[in-house]
Amino acid sequence: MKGCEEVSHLPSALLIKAIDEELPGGEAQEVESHLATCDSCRRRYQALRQVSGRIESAVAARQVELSSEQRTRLETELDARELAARAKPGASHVVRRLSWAVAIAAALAFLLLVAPQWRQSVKRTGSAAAAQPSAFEVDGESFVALPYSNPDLPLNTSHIVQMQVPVQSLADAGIVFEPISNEVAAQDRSVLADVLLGMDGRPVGIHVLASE
Amino acid sequence: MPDVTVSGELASPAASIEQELLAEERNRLVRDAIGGLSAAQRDCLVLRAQGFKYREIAEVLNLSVSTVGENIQRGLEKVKELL
Repeated sequence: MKGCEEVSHLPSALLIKAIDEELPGGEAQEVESHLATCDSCRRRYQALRQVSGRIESAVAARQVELSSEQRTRLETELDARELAARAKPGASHVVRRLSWAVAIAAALAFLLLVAPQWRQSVKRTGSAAAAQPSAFEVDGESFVALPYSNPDLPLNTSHIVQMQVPVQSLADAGIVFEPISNEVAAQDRSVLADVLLGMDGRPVGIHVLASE
Repeated sequence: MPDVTVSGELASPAASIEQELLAEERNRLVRDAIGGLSAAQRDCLVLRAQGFKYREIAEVLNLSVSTVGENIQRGLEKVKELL
């Protein structure tokens, strides 16, 4: 068995980039060659891959399922926004690709679902803004503030994503969309909404467009 | 009275439910671990889990590509420790 007595072990950063195929060809080849001869690094590589797979499964389990009709609607909406952005100087960071919007929607849904723990940490900072949801207006569209982004950051009006948001997630965020009389039914319901992303990529506000 | 077949067929749904519960429990542990990360690490890891390249994550989150790499590395190592 070949060991690593004569070579140094690979740093985790390099192993993770190799997993993510983020290394240039030559470097990727070197990592591959090293892994073929180093048991220790190969074990670390496999462990990191395993954790990555578990994270993917956990995120996928919470992914917002979009029907083909919803995808078409979202694509149309994004195309319209891109056209509008081209005509309107200053809005240069519009999300251009459908896949991005889907991923952001999925990420938002995931973040909203881990939100209770997160929200508590916001409240512990003593921020008065986190206590009550408030409304504000962006480009003529009114949004209800969400407690997930730093309210001191400037608003990024071009990052608005239309998505289905679970009603339960809204309730968890302190926004009661409607009286919830049946807990089970409420968990299954969602509303179509424009979600405004902050400069930090987290939701700043939500504008509910229609219930399911 | 309908025939009731007691066979291996009955064991399959139960095993399936048990597997689903185990999978849900595993996912819950991962979500809890991710919930304990910094916001930047969490955002980067979740978008990475969607299959996005570092460059794309950097653009969406307004970060540099190297910062995305650092967030992913630190976040992944923390989650690995917690699981």
